[in-house]
Amino acid sequence: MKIKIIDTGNANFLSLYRAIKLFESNVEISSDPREILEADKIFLPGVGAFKNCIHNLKQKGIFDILKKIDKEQIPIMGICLGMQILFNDSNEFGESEGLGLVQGNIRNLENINLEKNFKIPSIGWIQTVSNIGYENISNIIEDKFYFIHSYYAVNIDEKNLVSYYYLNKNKIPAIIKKNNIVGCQFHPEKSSKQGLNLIKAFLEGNL
Amino acid sequence: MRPTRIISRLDIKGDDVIKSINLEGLKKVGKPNELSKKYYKEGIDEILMIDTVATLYGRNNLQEIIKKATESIFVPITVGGGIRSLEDAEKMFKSGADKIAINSQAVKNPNFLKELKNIYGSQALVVSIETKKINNQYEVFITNGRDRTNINLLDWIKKCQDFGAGEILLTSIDKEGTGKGLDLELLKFVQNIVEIPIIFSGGVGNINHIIEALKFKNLDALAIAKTLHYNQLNINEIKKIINENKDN
Repeated sequence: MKIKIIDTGNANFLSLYRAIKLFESNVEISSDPREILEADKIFLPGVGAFKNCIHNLKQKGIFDILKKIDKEQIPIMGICLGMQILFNDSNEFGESEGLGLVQGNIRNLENINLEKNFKIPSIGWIQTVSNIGYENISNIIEDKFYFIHSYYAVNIDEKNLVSYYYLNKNKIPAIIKKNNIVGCQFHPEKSSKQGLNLIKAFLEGNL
Repeated sequence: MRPTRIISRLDIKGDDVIKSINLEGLKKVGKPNELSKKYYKEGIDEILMIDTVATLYGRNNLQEIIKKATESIFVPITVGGGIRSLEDAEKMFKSGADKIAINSQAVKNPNFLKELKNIYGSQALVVSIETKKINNQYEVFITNGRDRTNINLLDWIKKCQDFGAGEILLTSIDKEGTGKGLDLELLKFVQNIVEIPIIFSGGVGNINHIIEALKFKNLDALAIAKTLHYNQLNINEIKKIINENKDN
């Protein structure tokens, strides 16, 4: 199985690389459009600013390829910012378009923190809950995972919501899925055994 | 409130984890990779590695240590000590650091924080602040508590927030390495003014110190060094106490 981690720019990719390596030997970090299309599984990591990340993908000529990745049917997992760019757009530092692969928008957690009763970034090992329809994989998706984020996905289609956590009575998407496209708001590669388990499930086609 | 994160703090000199008292005086306590692997297996939430002599001697040998650590540790790793330029930061992230902690260089040039934030994002940026009360005012110190800055702690925290810090690592110089309890006065002083998460560091010597500190709101994270290195407390025991007290 050929696995590619897309080089989205400025981030620690080494941990993700090593996490995947625990289960599969053929893993490479790549920004070559052709190589990416030949992969059996793709990881789309990312940290930092939405606009920057999109800019990097465009510069590397990967943006247009990723926009059509739903038609290629290659399983892809976006992580953290890599999950957020799967949606339509973000208002981080002004409007910015996303890949539009999954219906939804990225908004600041400030919007649901008007009384300032939690801190941003939202950081910690947070217990997630399965959404209706995904109870059969609750042993993989319900656990404490490591989150660190200031933005979150809104207006998403309920059937694409796999798991979530609550913040000020708002459901914060933890995992989303639409056909071959999976997104994790948290960092599975930084979430100890339960995170590694989730990566394994994705690699085995069980997520 | 979500459970307080427990972070093991490894102060590193050369190839060794060392332990200091009041950020002075040194004793070797183990090897960074052996200790971090042990803490990972026991369920630590995060690992913090600080190169204690990097600023003083203008060098940094943490890269190899982190590269090795990421082979077997799958929790967040924060790295600090002697990060003075964007190149230094890039080396750390490429070696497997998830976050970097900036101290002296932020004081010298606060715009450095903005530059880092724009490239790596706030979530990867921790500002490390060492503080001590001088004439009844908390003042910021640099170079492991050696040098005064004449900067007021509150002013500095606000500036760090404005300039893009995602977290504050706050070390009480008076309590650091003493094992005599956290600086509760400092904790009380900052708890309502800091809008971003704080990692409190310095003074944990036994489980009662943690119970005392958990009574305060907004104890986002606790960095523990010596007490873990000397097996005076274990991670399971700490987590149990935190879960029992998390609604306070």
